[in-house]
Amino acid sequence: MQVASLRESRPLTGDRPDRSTLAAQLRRALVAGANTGGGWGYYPGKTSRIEPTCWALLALAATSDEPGDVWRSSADVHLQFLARSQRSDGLLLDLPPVPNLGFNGLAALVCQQLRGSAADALLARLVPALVRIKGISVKNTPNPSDALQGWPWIEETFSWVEPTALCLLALKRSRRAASGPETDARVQEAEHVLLARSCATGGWNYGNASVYGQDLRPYVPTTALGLMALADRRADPVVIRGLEFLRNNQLNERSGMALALTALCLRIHGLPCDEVEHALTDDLARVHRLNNLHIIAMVLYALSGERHGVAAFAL
Amino acid sequence: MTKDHRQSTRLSRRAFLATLPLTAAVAACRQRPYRRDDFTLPDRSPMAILPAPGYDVDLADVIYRGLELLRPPVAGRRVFLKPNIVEYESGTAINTDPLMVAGAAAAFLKAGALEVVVGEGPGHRRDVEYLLAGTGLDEVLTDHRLRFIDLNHDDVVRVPLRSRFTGLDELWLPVELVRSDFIVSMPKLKTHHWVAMTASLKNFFGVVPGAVYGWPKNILHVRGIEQSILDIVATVKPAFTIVDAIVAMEGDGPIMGKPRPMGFVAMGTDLVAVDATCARIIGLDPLKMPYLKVASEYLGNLAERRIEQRGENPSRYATQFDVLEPFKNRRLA
Repeated sequence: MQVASLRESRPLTGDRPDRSTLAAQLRRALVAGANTGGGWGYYPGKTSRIEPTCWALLALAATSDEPGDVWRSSADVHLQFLARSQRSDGLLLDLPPVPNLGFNGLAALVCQQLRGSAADALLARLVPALVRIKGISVKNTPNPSDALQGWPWIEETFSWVEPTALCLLALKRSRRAASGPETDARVQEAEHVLLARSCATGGWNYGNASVYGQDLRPYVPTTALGLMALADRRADPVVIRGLEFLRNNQLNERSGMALALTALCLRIHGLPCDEVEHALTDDLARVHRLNNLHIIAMVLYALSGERHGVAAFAL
Repeated sequence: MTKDHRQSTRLSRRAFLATLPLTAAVAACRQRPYRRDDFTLPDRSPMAILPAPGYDVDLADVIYRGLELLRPPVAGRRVFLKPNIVEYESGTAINTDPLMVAGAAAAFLKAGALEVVVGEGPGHRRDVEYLLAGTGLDEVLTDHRLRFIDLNHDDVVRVPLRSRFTGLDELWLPVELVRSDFIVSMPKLKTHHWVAMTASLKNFFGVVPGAVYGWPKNILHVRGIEQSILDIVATVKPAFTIVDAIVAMEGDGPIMGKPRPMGFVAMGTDLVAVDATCARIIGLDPLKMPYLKVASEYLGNLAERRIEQRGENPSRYATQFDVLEPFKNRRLA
């Protein structure tokens, strides 16, 4: 029964609930799902983890109507969770055995956006750690890009598109405050990783563009992240082809994650994202039912894009 | 932490062995990396092959009949169904069909299970909502009120490995899986471009949490796929398997192969025996598949004389699957 789910009925355009009502529901779900000791788990009642905590902080900060100091005070317990997760080498580790570098890149982006003493202290050690770490370089393979070093999910493994895009974005944004030759070199090599791994049809798979001589197909979430990380290279043919793929497939992967990242990416690139945001609102019942707080936060951040301009990911 | 691949020379003997192909690693071992006393091979392994010409048959009935033939101890147990959900592409045979999951849930509840939950941690795509919606599993879960455990993002617990072909001492595994008391593998029968065939054993790659180990479960690829299969299965101790071979996959599996209608469901308590039988049915020699051969030393029976067929005779379905060139020498003589 390989059929797309028809359970989530698609309301007619005129039947769509008000966006602010939906955002309020998503906010309530996030607030209710927070752990009292700080942070969010992927699901309510689960242990706090870096990724859902980062997305929840980002979404709640971007949609808060409270004065800045009130919001900062309520966010402090969650930032403290992130601070407690930081190791002496600067990387954040929520659970043994090894840090997830994609989530560390995300944490840097969130701290760069939230600022304040706790976030700044965290960033001061996190960014140098991201500069220091690379995926392994695999030479003498049919894919010359295997030798390039972006970021792996976990240390001492191969570089993948998602962690590379997130860490690259974080380093690019960190250069606004301070730069240096090491950071510049990492940014340059990571850009090469993404440019070299673009699929023949545009966009990105998870890793290489081909395996055993076979072209791999691009996916929507990976492509959206890749394009966000290369938003300052809009004239590059890889970016142009990627955007073409994303726009042609923007509604083809129906999930909170795929649609939210697509909406954020299109908005960053100054392209219309109404259709994608409508699809997100149409699919909200499933997002609420699965109740993954990380996805709920992503969706809230995407649906409120007009308000915050996706500032946390903008270059 | 920058590491050029060629510079990774300071490996312990155990870590070095994990980087070798399984056959070479086993040959280099002075002793097996597990305690023989921890494992008991059954004298005979009953299994059942049941005809199911399509997904429109009453699969709950098919699977329940299999349970009656095999009598696994499910009464009062919390059953954890682990289907194989990898990638969604319309018209393909990549995933365990959701109707198999629905049928298994109904059958186990009828057999007295206390609860049935479904869990998967896709190793290829991390967007599990997309996979659930695309494959139709989401609809099945809702209709049958089955709880879904996202194994990539569940809380985790440290579990010492019961065998150590990977060179690892432990893995962090999802809490909900570890706390289950009757774990059922529910794979799709497919050829596989790295290990020739994937079924009940290889399916357990999906229990390793991506949020901890990355995608596609990087640590397992680094430590050896076949080594990882053995260590995970030895540790997770699955109690049963139900193989979806109604429409299988041949050729460039596990994602890019072609659908191959086979019309049966294979079930059993000994996952090695069931996989060995499936291999023979599709024309592969299980003795030429290193992970199955090594598994037969401590996890289950591979020899035909030790496998008791209680359903259809496997020969009824015997055929030869198209396999990639490197695996043609693994065909049955």
